[in-house]
Amino acid sequence: MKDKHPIDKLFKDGLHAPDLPFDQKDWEMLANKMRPRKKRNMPLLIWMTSGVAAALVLAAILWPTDRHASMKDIQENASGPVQRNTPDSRDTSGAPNTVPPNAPTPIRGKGAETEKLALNTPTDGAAISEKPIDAVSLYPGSPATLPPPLFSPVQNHKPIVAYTVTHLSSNGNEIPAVARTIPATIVSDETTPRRANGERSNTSQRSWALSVIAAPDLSGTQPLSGKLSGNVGLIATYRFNHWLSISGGALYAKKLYRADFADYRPTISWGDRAAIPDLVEANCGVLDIPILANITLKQYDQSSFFVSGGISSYFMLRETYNYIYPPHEYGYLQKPYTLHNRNRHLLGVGNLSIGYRRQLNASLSLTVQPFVKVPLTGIGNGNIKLYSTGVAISADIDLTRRNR
Amino acid sequence: MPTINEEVVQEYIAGCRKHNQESQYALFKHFHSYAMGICRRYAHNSDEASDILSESFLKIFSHIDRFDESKPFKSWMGKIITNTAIDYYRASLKFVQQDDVAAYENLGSEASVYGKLAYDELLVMIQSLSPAYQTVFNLYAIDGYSHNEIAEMLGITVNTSKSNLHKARRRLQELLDQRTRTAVDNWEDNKD
Repeated sequence: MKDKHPIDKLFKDGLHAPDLPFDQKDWEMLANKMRPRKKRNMPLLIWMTSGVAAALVLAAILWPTDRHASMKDIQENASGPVQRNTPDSRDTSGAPNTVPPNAPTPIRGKGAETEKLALNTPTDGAAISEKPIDAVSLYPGSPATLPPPLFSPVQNHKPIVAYTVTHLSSNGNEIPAVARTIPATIVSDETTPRRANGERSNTSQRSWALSVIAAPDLSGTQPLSGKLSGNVGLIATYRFNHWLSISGGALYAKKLYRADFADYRPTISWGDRAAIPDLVEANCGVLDIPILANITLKQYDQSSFFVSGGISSYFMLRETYNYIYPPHEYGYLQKPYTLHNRNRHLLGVGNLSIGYRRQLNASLSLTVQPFVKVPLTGIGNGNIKLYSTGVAISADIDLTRRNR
Repeated sequence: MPTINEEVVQEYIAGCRKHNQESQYALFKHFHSYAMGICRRYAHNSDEASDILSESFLKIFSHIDRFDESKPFKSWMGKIITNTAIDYYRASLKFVQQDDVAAYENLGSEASVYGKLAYDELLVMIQSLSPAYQTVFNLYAIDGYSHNEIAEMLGITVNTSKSNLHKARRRLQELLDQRTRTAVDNWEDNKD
């Protein structure tokens, strides 16, 4: 029998039966592969949602903001039979939401129903008469009965004018005017309720909103660079007052990026092997759980500017890496390596953004929000410093208003 | 007569045939070290070794009904892992045809003889080979396949298999020499 080559013998003896420790992660990888997976075309969904959202934002910007139309609606309401008799009643015509500066005040008129409206411009309705109102007397300490505002601009405080709308009652009896007061139909630039002493009502300003978000971005190892990626998800916002709110939610993020292998630092040491890749291409599905604080910088009638800051947790649902090796006699070597649910980064990413929000109607607004996500820790299997820079576009639904 | 160990394995296999996940886990854990040892020899890094391992066991579990219990399970499993590793790198296996194979026939015994080296050192050396050299060396030198079998498995000629084996050995010899020089230098530095 021919003797075995010494090199062969050396390697056979040394490598034949190693005693390697069991790694639970290897089983998890196998278990994940054994589960049948439904294929999803997330990028298409992301881009379609982004497209729809962009179209909506464009429509919102071009939306004619006709305040006279609102007034017309009010006049129609005032001159016709009054059906709403709660302080929370509001204009449903899509006019800018406004909040009355006054609480119901009993006004008695013989043989008539009386409605009190505070308007910043007079109307020519035959059934409407004008009467100046003292704001303090109109607000007898019952701010809780006022509807909360979505926005609460503080500019353009104008004199409050009351319009008394007189209707003939069917039976000719006097009906307390308080029962017919329609605060929400009052139109004013002052959209934040005030107490009798002029302070804003924090209680009435609190509200919930739900945002549907689509956010294309660039993901890479440097800010403002990388491959086109995207995010979709839902964010809930709780507004404390006219300038502060907090948000939290969940986004599915597709992170596509390419990194130098020097930036790729896997937990398991690569060793000093000669076969070191040049590049790593990543395709990751990430669950992004952000917590944000939002501060309103500037408030207008139907729009506002704000800044947001906060922190995100990344749950790496799926990570696929392509290691691209340098050219060699055996050609390029590309083989994807996939992990499922292997890495989690709690509070591992910082968020910073500025935003512009445009009110579409009483309960719906659209927001455009350029943002940057800054890594506070290494992300994914390669502990990459992964930045994301993009623009979030969202449709915001004011749940508090809708419920009322 | 089967040993206790073999009886346990037979139990695991019976469970795997019924798609029992506990049995699959037990079988995987039982053979993890052996299987991962093969994967690492054929892979270029730990990530790829883990991937080959999971792909192999996926095949093992899905084809367990084809396993003939009269034969050793370890051999059947080893063959599946080897084939999976070859498939894993098949696209990148670019073999260099060497016509003058006879030139290499008498060079083998010149290689230096080294003492026993650590597993990690040897692994690093074998993983540094190109995929073609690494595969042929693994198949011939460690797994014991003949050049005819290798040629059939990889779709190459016997001569190509021989030339790739020779180049693999030569590269490994260089790495061993380099390691020795480094060790001597370190020893002299420490001595000074």
